[in-house]
Amino acid sequence: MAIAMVFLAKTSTSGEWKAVSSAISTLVEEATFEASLEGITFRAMDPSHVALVDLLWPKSAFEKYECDKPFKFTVKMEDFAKLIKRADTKDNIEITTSDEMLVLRIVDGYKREFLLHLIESTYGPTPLPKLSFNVRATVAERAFERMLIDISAVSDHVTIDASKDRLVFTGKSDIGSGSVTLEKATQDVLELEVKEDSKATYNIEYLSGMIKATGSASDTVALEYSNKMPIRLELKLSDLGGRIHFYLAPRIEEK
Amino acid sequence: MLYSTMADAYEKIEETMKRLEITDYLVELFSKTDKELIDKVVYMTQGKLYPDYMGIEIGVAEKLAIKAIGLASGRDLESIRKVYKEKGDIGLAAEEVLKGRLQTTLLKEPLTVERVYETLDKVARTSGPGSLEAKLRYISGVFNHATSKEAKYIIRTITGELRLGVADYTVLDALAVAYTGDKGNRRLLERAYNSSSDLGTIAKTVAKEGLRGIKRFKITVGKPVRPMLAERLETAEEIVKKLEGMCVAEYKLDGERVQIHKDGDLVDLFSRRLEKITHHYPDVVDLVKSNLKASKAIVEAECVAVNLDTGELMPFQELMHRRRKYGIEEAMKAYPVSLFLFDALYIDGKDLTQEPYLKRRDMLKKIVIQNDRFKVVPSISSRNPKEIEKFMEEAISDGCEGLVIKDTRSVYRAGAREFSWIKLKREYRSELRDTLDLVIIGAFHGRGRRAGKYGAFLLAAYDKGTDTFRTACKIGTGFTDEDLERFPKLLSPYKIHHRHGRVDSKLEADVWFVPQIVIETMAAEITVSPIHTCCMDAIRKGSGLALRFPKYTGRLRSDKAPEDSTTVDEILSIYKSQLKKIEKEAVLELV
Repeated sequence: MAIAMVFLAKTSTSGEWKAVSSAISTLVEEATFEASLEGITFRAMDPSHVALVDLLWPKSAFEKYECDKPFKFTVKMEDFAKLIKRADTKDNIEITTSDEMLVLRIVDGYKREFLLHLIESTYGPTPLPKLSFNVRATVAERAFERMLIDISAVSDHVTIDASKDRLVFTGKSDIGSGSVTLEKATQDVLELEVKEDSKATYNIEYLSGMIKATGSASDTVALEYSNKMPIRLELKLSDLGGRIHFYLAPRIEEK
Repeated sequence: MLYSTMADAYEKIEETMKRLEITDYLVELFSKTDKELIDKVVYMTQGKLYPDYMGIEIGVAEKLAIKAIGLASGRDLESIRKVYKEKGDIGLAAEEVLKGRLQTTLLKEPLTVERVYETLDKVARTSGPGSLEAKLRYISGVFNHATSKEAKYIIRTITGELRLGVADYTVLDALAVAYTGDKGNRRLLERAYNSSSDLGTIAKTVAKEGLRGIKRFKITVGKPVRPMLAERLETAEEIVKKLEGMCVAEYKLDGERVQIHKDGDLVDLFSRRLEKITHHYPDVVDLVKSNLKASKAIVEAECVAVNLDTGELMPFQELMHRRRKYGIEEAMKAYPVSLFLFDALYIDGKDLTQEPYLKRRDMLKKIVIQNDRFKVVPSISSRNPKEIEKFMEEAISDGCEGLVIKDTRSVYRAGAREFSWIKLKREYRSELRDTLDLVIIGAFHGRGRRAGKYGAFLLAAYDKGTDTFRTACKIGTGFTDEDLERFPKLLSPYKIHHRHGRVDSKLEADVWFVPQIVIETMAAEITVSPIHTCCMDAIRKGSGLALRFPKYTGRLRSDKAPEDSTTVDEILSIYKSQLKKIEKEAVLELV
């Protein structure tokens, strides 16, 4: 299909693509990006349907973005991530497509160009779960990451207990238990809105996978959830805009 | 179509052992099944995704299955293993654990048959690095949407433990009832099945086109034909009588029956059980390509391990070294094979299965370029039981299992075991445990790696009564490269231009020796043979005794004079004392 088409997405650093590529890699093997006149979006659920990534990357967050017609392109994440890893943090990244190939240029005086075969997508569209959230908090990324490491010392999962003034994270297992308390209005908790006290438990492996992937791009993590319901984390892609939403289904508390 | 419909049927089938009831439940399931899906449903009820001959197995190890249950349930592996140990069944363990699953999902959709099939197919086809993780994700992904009952059957399917007892013929019965309303039509379906070995395609054909489609079914190159099988009788006399004297006796070789499908340069090999075994035998593929003069053909052959240097046939155990996953090239060199062709089912557009045996044999001979490694199986046309028995002895001492005697008028009835092919096997066997010391009285020129040297030797036992040496075997196995260098030097002083006066031999050796050099040999057994002169007429008129599968132990008996070698009387007494009736094989019969 030889339809003349203009597509170019350029970022002045590689951090955004690194975050996006590793966030997606934690969940799926292939990724179908949708490029439109407004920017790039991506959404996929892991095969077990426990977690979902929803990316919104508006035109304004790129250094240069051109697209005259919406289209989709699918890559094998393992290969795509390998190429993205070739870039240093301060390198420019330019992505275009040509003839069933993805063209990736990494520029920092030393010009590199990679061509990657696009593949056929094997998945259909992913719907978003319909959720309403009773808790909304903005937490320092460093504090959140440290909390996950602390709790993982005693358990594979973390229970988040939100009340008016604080967030209490606990972990429990056969070996013992641990808890981390983050108080409202400290440098760790920048925002906390609680409509209703809520408590839910989540798998730490999923959470830390996501935080590790996107942590470098974002200083804060916005978390939203309700009692025994899925959680949504929002991570910023860069100061120019763009965000990743990460949804995770809760575990059932053992009695 | 919902997978729960299948799971419900499985549950009912599992509770009964009665074939008629199983048929009823299958009919019920098939009539709820979309015609486009019926092939997949049929494969799945038998715990498969494709017909056997495609060789695609789901093959998930228990360990991985347990991990997938862990991932889907959020339970730790230790506790799952405990449940598995208690239940003793991976399916029941999955059912129990997933009832109390701890991890919820973002979206839950009822499982469809399509989704389950697609996932299992991905699991079966994923290989290479990182494939375990991918399989784990696929399986746990499908578990997340499965009810605990569905998970029970899915996990049994992927680990190969579904075992509902749904036999091919039960499926055929059910298809006949579900789509033609008459179980009597099973016969027609069965015929189509026998010539294609693919229940799924049969199901789809009868579902969509009815009996008309089934009647059009033809044998196709690439789809294995279910092999015609042989019955068995005890004596040559009974067999000749049964076949009214219209018979041909063929060597029944101790190898693997192979159905060869050739389509231009594409060659596929199927085992007797219809597994695709092409990749085990790249050498056979080459032999077929260069020696079968038909562009499209289905022929049958026995594939036998051989010693290329001596032309000796090797026992079945040697051939089994070829059935390996890795090191195929090495095995090909270490265990070479020859092909003995015995039937032709299809040649260049013509289905021969309805032709009589003799015609098929003639057609086969016309397309085979015969040589050492690729030939039509030795046979004789005879109605004389004595002559057939002689031929049988020859076959046995050549390393065969016996004979297959075939009705010259019979058509090829795919999948049938009838009295138009009849096996004749030995009733008695005399195993040899001791070594024998025999004299080298002749030699044969070597071939292949042994070209220019001796390839095999003719050995004899000593007959005290007449002071002669009588032949007991031709031997080529057990000689190292050094032995092969050493023996010509050792023997050269004794080389003569004719058979030695004290030697009694029916075989013509290439080189004769004065009986002098004694070597130690082992063998699987002692057998009656019309070729060797040791103990001639002692057991049967016109036959002697010979060693079957003889092997040099590596020990040169230079301490022994030729007259000190094992005597014919000793061989006769060992034969008699070790003679035992052969138990009917409990293991699978190969023809």
